[in-house]
Amino acid sequence: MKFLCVSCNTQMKLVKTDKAADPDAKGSLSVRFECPECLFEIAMLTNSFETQLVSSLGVEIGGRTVPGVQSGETATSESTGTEAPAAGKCPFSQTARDAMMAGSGAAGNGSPGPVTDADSITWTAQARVRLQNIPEFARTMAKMGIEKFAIEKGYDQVNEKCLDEAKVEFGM
Amino acid sequence: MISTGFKTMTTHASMKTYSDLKGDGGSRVAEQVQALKAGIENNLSGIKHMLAIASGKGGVGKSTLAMQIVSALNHRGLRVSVLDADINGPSMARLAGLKDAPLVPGKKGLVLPRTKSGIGVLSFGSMVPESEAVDFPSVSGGDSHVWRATKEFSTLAEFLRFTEWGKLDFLLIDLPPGAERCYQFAEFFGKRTTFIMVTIPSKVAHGVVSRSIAAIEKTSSPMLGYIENMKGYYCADCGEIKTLFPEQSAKLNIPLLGSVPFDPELAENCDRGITIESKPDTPAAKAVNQIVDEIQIRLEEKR
Repeated sequence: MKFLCVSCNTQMKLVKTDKAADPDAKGSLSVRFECPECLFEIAMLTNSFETQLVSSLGVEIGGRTVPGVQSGETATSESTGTEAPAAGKCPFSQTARDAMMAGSGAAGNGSPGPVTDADSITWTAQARVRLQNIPEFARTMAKMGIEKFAIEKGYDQVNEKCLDEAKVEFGM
Repeated sequence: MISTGFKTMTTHASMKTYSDLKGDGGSRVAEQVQALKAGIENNLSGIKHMLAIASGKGGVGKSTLAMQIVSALNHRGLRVSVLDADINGPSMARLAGLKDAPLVPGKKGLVLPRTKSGIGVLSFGSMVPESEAVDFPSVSGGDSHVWRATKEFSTLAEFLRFTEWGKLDFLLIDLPPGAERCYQFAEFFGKRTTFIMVTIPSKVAHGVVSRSIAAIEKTSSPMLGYIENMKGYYCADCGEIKTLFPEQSAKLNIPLLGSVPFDPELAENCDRGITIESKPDTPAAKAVNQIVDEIQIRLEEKR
């Protein structure tokens, strides 16, 4: 989908969108476009049906700027496992995910699972990147399985060594 | 020049069209789709042969045969894996004994769960318990008929892109039933994937499989031939193959790769994740091995 400023006959560009642009209707998205010549702005507003269609394509409007990182995942800072914003990541991506999750009602197979003891386990940045680089559908199950493995081994942190160890132990 | 009261607008005699505009103004949707396709191509570059086991008809034994074929190939020392593309009715995890297989994030993507004999198996059956339906988060309640297939294919694409397939001689893809699904999957996988059709000797099955073949023929995907499953019934008491379906005079219009008799013991073993290689002297095992010979010969001829 492209937008044309009719008066300037110029293609409109996506402008940075903030969460405030997200309307209160569940599942709706708001994407602002601007004419680079006259600076006239429009907003594309989607209903939940249209939001779902875009989501089903496995894409994010505005694009992903972290290679391999899927919707809703955030890169973490070195070693600590604390969250750090991904450089240049379009805030709309998170808005889309928020809208998806807010309106979904049911969590689905790919959604976070129930609170467990594993909540106390931290992931290093490198381990988290690995987790982010597997298909989104498998991520929750993988996370739960690895944390269970870590608990059984007495680890309080999942790092790359732990992942490699799990791979060997599970006969892969 | 038109005055709207808010803004002075100019109408251009030759207003730009969609194709006049370069890029998509920053939405980057098409770019992401293309990037995913390129990523899939790159990630599958170490695979020598991709074989889709299809039918169009349900209940003909596609998944069982796929597991037995891949097991026979593995027994010959080839590097093999299976992708269970039947998202909604996955059975490969059970057939491979990997229903509760753990999922591990590797250096380049998801590490393939493996059977004890080393066959890589990617199945949604390892991710969703059999008591649950495969579900996706949705904001569009009641309209899943519109977006569900798109979501399934994009999910499958993600697994093709972000799984550590490595170097393989064969990747077998077990497809879901449905003639229209054959067409969709043929377009999705493209010409690098060769189709093998499975039928049983009944007129109903032949009719549906014929329709599926016609659908695939409209695409660029090659078809190697078909397997006739449940061609007779193996009686363990008398050691003979008895008639299960009336003899069919009509053949499908692609080569017959071979026939496999129904064997109750094989069916029971499949439920327990045991493959024919543990029973190599049974008629079903012999038949599957003959079919694998035929597959390898025909693929070599095509090269």
